Amino acid sequence: MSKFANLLDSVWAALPTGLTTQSGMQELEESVIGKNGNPWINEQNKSMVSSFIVGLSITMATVFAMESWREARMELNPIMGQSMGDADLLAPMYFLLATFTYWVTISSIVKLTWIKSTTTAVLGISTAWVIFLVSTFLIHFVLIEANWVVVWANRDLIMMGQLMKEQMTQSPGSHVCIDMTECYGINQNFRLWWSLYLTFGILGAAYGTNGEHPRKFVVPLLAIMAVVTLIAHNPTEISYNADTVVIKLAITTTCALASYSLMYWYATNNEEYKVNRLKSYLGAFAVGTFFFALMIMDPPQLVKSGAEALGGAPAQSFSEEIIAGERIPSTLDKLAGNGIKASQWGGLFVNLIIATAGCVLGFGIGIFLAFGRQSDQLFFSVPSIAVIELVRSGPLICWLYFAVFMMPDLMDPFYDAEDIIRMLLMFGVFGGCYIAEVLRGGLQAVDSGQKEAAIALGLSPMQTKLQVELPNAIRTTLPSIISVFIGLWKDTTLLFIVNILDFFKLAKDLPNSDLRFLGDFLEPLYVSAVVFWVFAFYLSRVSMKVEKNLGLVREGGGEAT
Amino acid sequence: MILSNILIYAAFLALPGIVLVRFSSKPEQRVSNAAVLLGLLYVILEGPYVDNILPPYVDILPPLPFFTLFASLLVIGIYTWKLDRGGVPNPIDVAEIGLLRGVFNLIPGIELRGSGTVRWFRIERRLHIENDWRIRDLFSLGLLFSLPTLYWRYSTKFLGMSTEYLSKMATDITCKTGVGCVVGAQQNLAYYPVDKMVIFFGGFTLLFFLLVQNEFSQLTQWIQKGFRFLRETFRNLFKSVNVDDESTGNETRDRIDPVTEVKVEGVHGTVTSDGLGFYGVSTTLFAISVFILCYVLVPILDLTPSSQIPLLFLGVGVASGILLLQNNLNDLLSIRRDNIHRFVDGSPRSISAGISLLTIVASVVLVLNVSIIPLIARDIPAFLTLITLIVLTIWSFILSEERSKPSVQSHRTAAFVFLLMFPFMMYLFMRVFFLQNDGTNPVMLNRWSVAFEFMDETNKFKINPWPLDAEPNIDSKWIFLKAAIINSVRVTFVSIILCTILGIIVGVARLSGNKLTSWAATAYVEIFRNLPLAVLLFLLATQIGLQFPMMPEEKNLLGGAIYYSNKGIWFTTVASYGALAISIFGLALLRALFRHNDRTEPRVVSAPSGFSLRRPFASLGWRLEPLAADLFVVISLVLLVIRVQIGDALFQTPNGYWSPQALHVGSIGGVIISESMLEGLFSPFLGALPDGTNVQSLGKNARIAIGPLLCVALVVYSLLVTTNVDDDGMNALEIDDSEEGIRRRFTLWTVAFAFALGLTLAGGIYEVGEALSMPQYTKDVNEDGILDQPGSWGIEDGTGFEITPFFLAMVMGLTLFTASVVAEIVRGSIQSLPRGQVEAAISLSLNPYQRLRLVILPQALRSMIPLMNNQFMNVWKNSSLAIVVAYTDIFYVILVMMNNVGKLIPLFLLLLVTYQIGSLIISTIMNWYNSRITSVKI
Repeated sequence: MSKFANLLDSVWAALPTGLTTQSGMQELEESVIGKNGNPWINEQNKSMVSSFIVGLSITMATVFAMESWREARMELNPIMGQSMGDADLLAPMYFLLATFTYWVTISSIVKLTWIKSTTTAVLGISTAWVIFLVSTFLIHFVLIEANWVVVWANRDLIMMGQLMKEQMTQSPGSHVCIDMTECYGINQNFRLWWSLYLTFGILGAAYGTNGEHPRKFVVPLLAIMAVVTLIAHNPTEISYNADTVVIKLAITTTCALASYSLMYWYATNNEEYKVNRLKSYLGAFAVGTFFFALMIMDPPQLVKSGAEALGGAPAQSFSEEIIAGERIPSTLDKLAGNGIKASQWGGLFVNLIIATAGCVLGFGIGIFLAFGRQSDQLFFSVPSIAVIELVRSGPLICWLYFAVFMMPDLMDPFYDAEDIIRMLLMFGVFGGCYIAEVLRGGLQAVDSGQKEAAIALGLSPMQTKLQVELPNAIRTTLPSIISVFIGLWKDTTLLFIVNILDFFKLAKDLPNSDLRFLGDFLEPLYVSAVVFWVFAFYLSRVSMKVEKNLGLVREGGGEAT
Repeated sequence: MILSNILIYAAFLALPGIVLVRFSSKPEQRVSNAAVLLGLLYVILEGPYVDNILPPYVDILPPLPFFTLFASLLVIGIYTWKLDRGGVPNPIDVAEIGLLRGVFNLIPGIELRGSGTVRWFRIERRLHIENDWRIRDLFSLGLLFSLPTLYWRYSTKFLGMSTEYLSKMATDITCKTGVGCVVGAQQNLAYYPVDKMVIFFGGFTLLFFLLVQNEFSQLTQWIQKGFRFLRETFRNLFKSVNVDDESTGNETRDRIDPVTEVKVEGVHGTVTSDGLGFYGVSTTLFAISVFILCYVLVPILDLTPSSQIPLLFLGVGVASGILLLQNNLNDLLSIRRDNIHRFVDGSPRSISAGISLLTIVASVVLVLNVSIIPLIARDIPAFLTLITLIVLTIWSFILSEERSKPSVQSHRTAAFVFLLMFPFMMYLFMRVFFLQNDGTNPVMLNRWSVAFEFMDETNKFKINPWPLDAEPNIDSKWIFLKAAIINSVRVTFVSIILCTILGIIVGVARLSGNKLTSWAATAYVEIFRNLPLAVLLFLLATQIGLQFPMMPEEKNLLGGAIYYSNKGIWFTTVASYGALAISIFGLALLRALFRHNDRTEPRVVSAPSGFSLRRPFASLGWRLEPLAADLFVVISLVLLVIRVQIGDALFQTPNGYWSPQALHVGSIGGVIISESMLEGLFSPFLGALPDGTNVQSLGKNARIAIGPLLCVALVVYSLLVTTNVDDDGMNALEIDDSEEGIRRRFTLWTVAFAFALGLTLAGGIYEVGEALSMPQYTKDVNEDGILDQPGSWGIEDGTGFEITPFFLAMVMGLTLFTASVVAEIVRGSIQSLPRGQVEAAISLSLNPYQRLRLVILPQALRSMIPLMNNQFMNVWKNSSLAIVVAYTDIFYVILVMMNNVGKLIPLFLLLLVTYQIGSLIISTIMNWYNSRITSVKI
């Protein structure tokens, strides 16, 4: 018997260390299900019992996985575009999950840990089962139940909206429109790409000034871009020319990498004050990018005439020739022509631009309101308090309704804005009021010595506010401000209530777009949940990083409290 | 005519020019001054005043001044900047090519003209060497140049629209002929009486004037002083009359004049002849008196609607802005014969006094006689903008010098911003006002007029109310709103409770030693915190709809006790809620008695002297006071639950007619307890009128609500009384925890519970013939005896307790989402506790649960509550997302009402007010709780 146990011990020892070293295993076991309480299990037969439990779990899990595999193969429907390989993918996942769950349960029962450390055992077993049930449910849904074709077929739509999708897929030279008979429209997607290049350039530059090891930026960037490229290039129901998209994604990556390396080089070879100055320029540039994106989508007459002066002919003026394939419009031609009206914007772009408006405009408005609220002049403080409290008293969707139905009555006589533009403004005001409250806390926390020093240096009130109080306040409240931004980003999903064709609205309505996808309600919802989650999660990581870099965790500020 | 125009332009340019030159001391400031002056010049060239003298002005300058000029300035600026930087060989020759530089240096040249041209070049040289131009400077220069134009456009536009509205509203077209109209009827649908206009628009300007003047604290002091002064004066007068009777005429004359008399008499107090001290508040008082004067005079004056009325309201606003900037009304009003020389000697003080006086006189004269100056009367907005532009230009430079005291500086900044914003603020106010009165546009009028009569009409759409009924086409919109509020409140209430529980569990689990659990809790928090709530709700609703079984499948648990399907979940409940309430009442009484039995004498018996609202039963002594407080809570809860129609009793006449005057004592006894207690539970809030009509106005609703509101107030008060008794240490309990004692207690409670259960079930049998109300699954049968389509199968109405899928999705979404945030709060609060607390608890050999329950959570609660308060308010506001899952909450109901009746603004106001009140209630409760928790300092 002991010989057998020794053999098992040697097998354990032979397994890769770290994953299954006996002490590691035991530690994990004790942490998850508690200490052994069975008097019959001693040092001699411990390994054997463990092996027996593992073996039993594996056996049971195999049975379970095989059964699920068989059922999954019966459920899968190749006619609907599902592949049988999904069932093969499902089985090992089920097997791993089941092994773990069975192991936790059986170990706890056999080793009587629930007697000695009840809390740990109950927690461990219940958590394991919750994880098991939720994961199997999700895996089964993702691999077997769901039919993701609805999303693959419309991925361009939910990115940029109906008009731009049509322009991309139906214009001459696109994937669908091989023979020129069915072509129409002029591809205007360069407008989006330009904004994307700029955004990625700034993103790279921002990471470059950070001074961290290049590995920490380059590897994740390449990984993310690879995933995006794979998604864009997936041939399932593809309606656009994937090669151009891949090339442009490569340009985007290059932009990010180039600006990153430039800034990294600059940051490592210059003094800190210069880098800080560069950072402030970058901030201004990022704000500029927001306005650039707005401008380039629907350029004012000045830009159009500028492009015309540089030699472009308005693309709309010779659209027949373009559709007939006789003439390919240059970018300058397109720039000289009409842009995309705000009412035609759609998809993820709308969410991004409106959330950014909430940040950029909101930050400006927030600074005004925060200082206004602090002011000892009633003319500033009373209206600021009134605006802040009024806006904060209602939920955002009330204000979105206000922006859609009541704001035009007030605004139309002097500015006939489109819905999306009013949404931009409303998000700005709404975000501004919340940022103002956050900033107010920061302003109140500024050490009075700072202000006194500024006055003693002879700075004017305005200089004291903008160059002493504000930077101090922003520094301590930056994590909270970022969480306001996260909130704004998530709140852009509410736009569907006022019929703005944002990502969520388009995704939600996908099942109605085609008879083939009539029942596929859940798939687009899961996709939008994941997309919004990814951005929000990324921002929350940024927030944590900022908090750490500013040393706020030590001071006890920010979200840690 | 042309001459007068030229004079105006000269003044327009020269006035700011003089000030700019006079006040600019640094070269770069001269450059910006020059930019602004150029901008003013551009305004003249481009503005409407030009077409008199320079007809083809359109050809001189291109359209779109802002972008074009901005761009060209940038280009030229960058060019000169490069010249500067590159050190082009002959700067005097080359640099002047740059138009910008040439023009910018114009003004220093003008200033130093007297000193000779050589200095002109010297300045030029100096600029070259000293100015390290940056792109930012060029931006600001371009902006400075464009500002006058921008302001011109902005101000003329908004003032123009305001003028238009004012004229429209002031035009009085009363029918005189009787042809096609009734004699005396108002033909102008947008007409608004001018005296009321003074109240609103004048009041608006006055309000902002007072806000800028910022003298409210002085004003209240002054009013107090005034009262004291009046009292003293009056007393003195009275006294002097008495004295008058006694003494002879010599002193009488002095005493008759009370103001001078006061000091002579030596009455205590320092009220002197100028003791009222108008100085601090004279500006405020001046403004108020001008407002009153306007209110009295304007209706008499019969001003013309086209020019005089707009000039009155807008011009007075501009004038008040100018006066506020001058900030010398105090001085002006303190001019006496002895100090008048200080205001005529040509000093800055006298100049500014002159300007203020001129402003006042000019605005009065212009309002009264504007028609004799056609140049102004023709285009009032342009005239006012011109004046404002000059004033703003001058003052922006004076302010940028920062020569005055900080307080004066900030006051003037406020005045400056007021003048700057005045056109827009006035427009906004006037637009809202106009939309509410403009009879020529019925759609807008319907949308904007704030009147709530339409809420008394019946509602047309169906909602899903519980526990009251809101029937479409029968009940009024108020009732629907009430039902919607109850819907929102119950979803919020349930979510708050559940998310607190779940949040605490997850938060503690994140800190658990069990790695699997803490990992899972972290994953939970990260997943749900970063998920948009709207998406989550939609996902849950869809998932419930797809995942739950269909209704015809008849899925049930425990032999039909619980039915579940994607149309909802039905639970078995007791049949008679009335009997349940009675049982609970009995149990509560029993508990109060037990507590009374266990009570011992407190260490310190404290009692307020006399009757105190804080502890009204203190006179009963330590033994009976806590019992009385306990019973008070029970009784007030009973009063709330059973139907005490205090409102009925107060306002019902014998024939069932509602009137606040009639107090019919006889009806009190009759209506105390209703037939059904469930109905009674909520009917005080929602009950129908005695005459059977369901359609209720707000007034009637309010009257019915008096009873329940009083009851709620009573409950709150009774709870406060018990907490006060507790706080004062009067509630000392000594529980017999010997084995026998516990056994006795256990037996008694078991018997009591059994009895209560029996009573509840018996009540059900007595009332409806069944002890329990189980969900009854029904399948419709057609006339021919064949089962109907499965689609019409379902649970019979009124059986079981239903949870709709909308409610379920809503509660799940809000709970899952908020719990992730609450978990973070809990974790943070626990982590901020000193480590020693846990160690001390361990060394006391408390088990993990006891550690958590007795040591960690009570302390963590202190830092948790304010953050939880925020989250609970968020739950309340997020409940408005119910529209996503088609749950009929406040937002949903008001939204559909908006679509049905088009009364956007009143409904929107209702919406905001409702949410604000809800938030206030939540934060009040939480703050009260917080103050109780933190009352003991650690």
